[in-house]
Order: sequence, then structure tokens, then C-alpha cells
Amino acid sequence: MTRGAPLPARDSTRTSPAPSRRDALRWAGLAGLGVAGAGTLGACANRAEPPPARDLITPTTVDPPLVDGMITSDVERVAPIYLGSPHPDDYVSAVPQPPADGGTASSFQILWGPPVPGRDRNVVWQELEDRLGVDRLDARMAPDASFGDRLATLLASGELPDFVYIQDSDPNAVRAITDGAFLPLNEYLAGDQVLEYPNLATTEEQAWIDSAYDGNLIGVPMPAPARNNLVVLRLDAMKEVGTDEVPDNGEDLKDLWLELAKLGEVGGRRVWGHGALEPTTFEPLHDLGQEFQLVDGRVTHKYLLPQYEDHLAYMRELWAGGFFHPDSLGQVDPELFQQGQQLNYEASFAGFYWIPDQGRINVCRRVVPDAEFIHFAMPSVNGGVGRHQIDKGYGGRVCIPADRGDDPARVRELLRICDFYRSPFGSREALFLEQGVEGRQFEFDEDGNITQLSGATDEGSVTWLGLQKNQVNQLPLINEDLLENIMTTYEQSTESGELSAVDTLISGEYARQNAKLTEIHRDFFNAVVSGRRPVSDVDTFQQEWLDAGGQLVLEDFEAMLDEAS
Amino acid sequence: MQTDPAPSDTRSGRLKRALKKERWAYFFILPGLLYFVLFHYVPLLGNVVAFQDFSPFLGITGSEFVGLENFLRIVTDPEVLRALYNTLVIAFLQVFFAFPAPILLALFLNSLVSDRLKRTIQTIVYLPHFISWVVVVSIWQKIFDGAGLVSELMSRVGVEGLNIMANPETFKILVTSQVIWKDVGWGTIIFFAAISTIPLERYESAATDGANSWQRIRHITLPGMMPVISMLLILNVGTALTVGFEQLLLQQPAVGADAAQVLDTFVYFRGIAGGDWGVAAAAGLVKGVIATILIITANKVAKKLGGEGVI
Repeated sequence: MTRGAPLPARDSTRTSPAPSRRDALRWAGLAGLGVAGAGTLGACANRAEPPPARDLITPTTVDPPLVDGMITSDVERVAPIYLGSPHPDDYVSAVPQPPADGGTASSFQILWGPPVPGRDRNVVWQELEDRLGVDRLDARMAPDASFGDRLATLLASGELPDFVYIQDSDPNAVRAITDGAFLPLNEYLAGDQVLEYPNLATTEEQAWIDSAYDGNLIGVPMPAPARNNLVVLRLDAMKEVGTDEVPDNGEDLKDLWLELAKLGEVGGRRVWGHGALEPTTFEPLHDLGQEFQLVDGRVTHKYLLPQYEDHLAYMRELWAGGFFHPDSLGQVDPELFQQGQQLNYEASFAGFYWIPDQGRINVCRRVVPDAEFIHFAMPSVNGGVGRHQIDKGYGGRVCIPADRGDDPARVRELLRICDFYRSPFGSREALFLEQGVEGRQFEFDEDGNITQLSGATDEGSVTWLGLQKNQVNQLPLINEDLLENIMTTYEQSTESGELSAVDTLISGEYARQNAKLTEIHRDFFNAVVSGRRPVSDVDTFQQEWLDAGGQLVLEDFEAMLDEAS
Repeated sequence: MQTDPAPSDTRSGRLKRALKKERWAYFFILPGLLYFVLFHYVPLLGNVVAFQDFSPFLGITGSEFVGLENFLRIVTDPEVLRALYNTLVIAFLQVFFAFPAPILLALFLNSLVSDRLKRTIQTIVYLPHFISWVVVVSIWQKIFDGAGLVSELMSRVGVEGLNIMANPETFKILVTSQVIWKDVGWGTIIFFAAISTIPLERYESAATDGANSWQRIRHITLPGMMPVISMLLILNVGTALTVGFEQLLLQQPAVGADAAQVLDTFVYFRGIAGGDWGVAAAAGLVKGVIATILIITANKVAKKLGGEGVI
């Protein structure tokens, strides 16, 4: 049985003839509050109108220039692969002249690594200002761990910089979108207008569709392929248990994993099957697919699907068989794989293969020279490739505050700056944005390959505004043997799933409930997998999940779908 | 005939004289006063959020007032009740076990004859206080988690799968043990100071009268420490509902929210991570009210028992 929501009509015209309980509570609260503080807090507000709903006209999409040697896939939304790096002489210019004409630009962006040296001591920062054509770039960078807190503070201040990077998983960000904090860019980018910004025009259409809110183009989305993560198995360990092929059936794969768990030691190191347990890694085994999906015309959630109970039983069997590190439900060493101590692992492409050879696969190879690897698309217990969760067309967006709309010329200048950041693969601008300054952060060796230089590596993070080009997966030359395996894995996992109409919706209710619902699920999942709760408690969990806000989210999605139809 | 009092005899005159006389004392109080007003009293106005469907961008005056709805959601939310239960249990364990621990250690150290040994032990037990909770939890994990030292040793004697850090049933004891380990040494400083104020003559007289060491502790040391003990106990009760945010946040994934969700982590998850500022502020406000009631009650109890109290 599939559990879903009833279909309530969203009737915004309904009026209540008598005061409701909510009204009574509101007045009681106001009375209780009295006048305390009300007058002193008048300064803490921004005024904005939510963007009105409209029909979406997506910006025209132009194919990015194809670089010689790029390996593309026939499967849509699979990122192309480039072996090594283009020859230094082959880089072209994508932005002939600086996009700005002096003045300042400001940004609020995420910081994925250690703190960045200040502007005065940061050569990359200064170079970026020169290339953008601004006298000063005020870049405020918040570490990813505290980005949500800092964003909330920034929004409350009302003084938003020119560019604000947000992620739609952040409830405060979604609330800011729906409250009208950011400028709809339709009148600047819709249809062929985007051609004024040739690099932005290479943004895949799916990114515009998925990131639009009520037909409004809120910000410039950062395009993302359908799948970015890969799962890998240690092939050398598989050979020790007598196989060199990943089974194409989830049940057989379980047997293999449990065999691997018994090894105890591989390559002279203590090993475990799997480290930190991220539930989504294993969900394709039972074809759980997208988080929210349409089943028989109704919106439901993957944890409400009937096969979820089987999935829990499967995971519990893996736990009981010692496949997981004993601390995998809590804090486990994140470097277990690099240290050669984890046999099954999931990471992003960049995590595995950071150019030139700093990715985890190559770090692991240095620790365990005999280590071999094989990527695979997670099979289903029913045979064949399991249904994978497909990522939306974008991984974040950079928004321009609504008040900048008073000056269209300024908005166009800011969009030209965005255009610079979206410079495509194979351009000198993209090389600078990704690698930094030649001679300081990197250099080309005699074969024309990029070699990273130590000493000033932290300077480069200032260029990460959240407007990267369409993804091109650069595979280090030393990993050429895995090229076909990687492409096949991406193609299989991408073809196994699909986005639904629900994926194009932005739900404020979801953003609001997401953290709580995730926590409730994680709690239950960990308890069942580790044996603290029986698998049969799944009904209790599903009801708890619905009662805790899941039902509201399902209803919100259904109401939005109704309105859209 | 009635005459007006001289200006210097009026209330304002007396105040002016007092201010002038103690001007330096008031001057030195000023920074502290400003600190409390700016950073503790003015932010109290932000509790308005508890009555709103608050949006950071719209701010306090732009967000919709929802009256007591957030409070209603709190009392009907099982997660809040669970967080409150966990908070109270951990608070109880900390007041009854973590609070007396430094008193006992101070008494023990005070009884040591060798100053060198005393100082060595003091240095060792002080150290954990200066380690952040992230590091403390990491150290405990290395020793007590499923792949830790204790688990490895136990597996050699046939006890498999021991993971003290991931056991929800013993988690609250674990949390209290960590608090004791981290802060017991630091806590002894104040109690040592209290012991040092007790006149040595009392011990000499007691020894002359034939009192043994236990009797000296019971009848001289403990009564001498009692004003400090009662004051710290009152302050502890007042902060009883603040039971270690970082410590619990770091360890919650391993044992689950059933065991590790407390009011502070609830406020974090619901407010900051979940963006539900109204409910989070309401929970924080309720916690503040309960803490105020607790501290007033403890103060009255302390006074009734003959202590001085803090208010």
C-alpha cells in the first residue's frame, strides 16, 4: 500500500465568519505581550512583496563550446569527462573585457575550506577584482558549517550584498525567496534576452526550470548533472573473496559485502566494509528513487513506500553481519577510505578525482599501493540497476537582492559579472576561477598538465561564488583505466531514475519541516539498523513522520500541483 | 513654623552626595552594567519572536503575529516533552552527582599532607577543563566507542560489540561522567578557596579535643564551606536546564534523539536548522521562565535552611 496525502484544495478566498481559535490566540498573545518592546523594535524590518506568480519563459540555452578531447555521453544530464587538462595553448577567452566599470561589488558566499587570506594579502582576490573590472570586491565568506546561521543573520540585517548564494535546503533561504527578498530576473533573462550574457546562456534548461519559483527566475542557478556521486568498491578486496565483478542483483551484492566484512584485514590494514552510514547510498537497492514522487497521481515520500520495510530489514542484516564500522551511525573517521580501511565508499566525482591527483582514490593508492577500485551503479534486489535518486538541475543559486531592481543598468552589470563566473570549461577565465593564478597556485608541467603549487592554496576559495560552469568531470591521467567504468556508472544510475513534477516545486512547508523530518527518520533508521527497534515499527515511524509535519508537506506539494494544473 | 529642608538634606541631595562619595566605585560598575543591559536585557525584547511566525528577512515588525500559537504547538509537540524529560533527567544527575564531585575532591586534596602531590593531582584534574567539548568527545570515542580501546580489550576476553558511546540506555550516565571528568578539577578551585578561609585554630582545637579526621571534616570543614556550597547550588539549579549543548549535539547521532534531545538542542534544530524561529523562541522563553522559578525556589529553600541565598 502506498500512503499519501488527501487532496485538499488550497482556497485562499475562504473567510471565517466567526473568530477562529488562531485569532483568539493571536489577540491573547498581543494582549499578553503588551507594549513591551514593540516600539523599540521598529527598526528591525525589511519591506518587500512576494513575487507574483507568472508563466515561466525559460532563458534560451546555447550549447557550451566543445573542447577537443571532451568525452560526452548520449544520456541526457550526464556530465562530460575530460582526461587530464587542456593544453595551455588551447585555452580561449570567454569574456573579452571586464564585465564591470569600476565601483564595488559585494557578495555573501560559502567557504568550503580553511579561512581565506584577506584581500590585501590575497593575490587571487586582487586578480579577481582586476578581471571583474571592479575597484573593490567585498566578499563575505561563511564556512559551510555555519552558513545557514550566518545567512539568517544577514537576512535579518536587511543589508544584502549584490550577490547572495543560497541553497534551497535552507529554510531561511526559501522563506526569503517567498518573502520577496530577491529580484526576479525574468525581464533580464527570459527567452533570448539571456543571449546578452553568452556564458549564462549555456546554463542547462533544467536548471532554470527547477530553480524557478512560481514562474519567477529567482537568481542564477548553478547547473548540476543528474548524478554527481559515485559508489566504489575495493577490487583488490573483492579478488580476495574470489570475484572481480560487482553482482547485478542486490541480494548477491549483500552476500559479497558480508564476505568482505569477514576479511578483517586487506593490504596490511584493518578494514571495515563501510564507514559513515548515509541512508541514501543504499536506497537504490530497493528502488526508493526520488524523495517525493507521484504514485497513482498522488504525492508520496520514499519512506512511505511499501518496499521501505524490506530495505530496513536488508540494512539490518548488513549491520548484524559486521559490514558497517561500529561507529558508522555516529562519528566515524571521515578519512577511513583514504587510509585504505574502508572497502565500500560513496563520494562526489571531485572527492574521488581532484585534479591533478589529490582525490581520495589516489590518496588511498598512495597508502595502499596494491589497491584497485571499481565503481558500480547500485543494483536492485529485483535485479538490474536500482532506481537512483536524480538530482535537480541545480545545486544552489546566486540571488540579487530585490532593491537592486530600482537600477536596471546596475542589474545588467551584476549579470555581466555572473556571466564571467559562468565561463565555460576550456576558457582562461574558468581556469583562473578553478585553479587560481598561474605561477602561484598552479603551473603547467612540460607535458602541459596542471601541477598544483603549495604555499598559497587557501587564496583561491574567494572565487567560489556558486556560479560554476556546467560540470565537466576532469579525470587525472593516472586514472585513465577507470574512464569507461566511471562513464558507464553515471549513465546507468542516471537512466535508472527520473525527475517528477514534484521536483520542480519549491515548498516553504518542506523547507520548514525538512530538518525535523530528517531527524525523525535518521533516529528511526539508526535504531532499526542497529537493532534497537524492530523492523515492524515501520508503521509507527510512518505515522510519526506524517504527524510531525510530513502530511503538511505532502498536502503543500499536492496543492501546488493542483494550482499548476 | 515649618521650614524647607536644606537642599543637601533632600533625597536627591543625599543621592548626589552618595554618588560623589562613591563615584569611583560606580565608575567601575559602569562597564559591567552596560554589558548586562546591552547583551542580556536588550536582547530579551527579541522574545517577541515567540509570538510571531518570524521571518528573518521581514524582521520583527514585518512578521505576522500569531499570538500564543507557538506555545500551543510546544505543549502539543511530543518532541518537546521528550526534550524536557531528557533535560530534567540529565539536570538531576548533574546536580546530584556532578555538583558534589568537586566538593569531595577538594576535601580529598585538602587531606593530603604532601603539597607536591596535591599540586600534581590538581594540575592533572584541572587540565580537561581547558579542552573543548569537540576534543573531549573525540577522546572518549577513541576509548569507549565500538572500535575504541575498551571495545578492543573486551573483545579479547570474548565480549564482542561493546559500544558504550552508542548505548541510549546508559547515555545520560555517560554524559554526567563526561561532565565530572571535564570539570571536577576546575570546580575544586572555589571550594579550596572556601576551605582556606576556615581558621586553622579550629582544626588545632578540634585535634586537641581528640577529633579524628572525619570528625574534623564533618564538624569544621563542611560547615565552613556551606555558604559557598549553598550559593553555588542555587546558581546551579538556576542553570539546571542548560545541560551541555555542544556535548549533546555531538553525540546525538550515535544514540538518537530519544536519548539525547534536550531543550537546547531542540531550539537549535527547530529554530536555526529548521527556520521555525517562533517555536524555538517560545521553547527558549518557557525554559527561561522555568529557570527563574527554580532559582527563586532554591534561594528560598536555602534561606529557610539557614543559608544566606543569593537574592
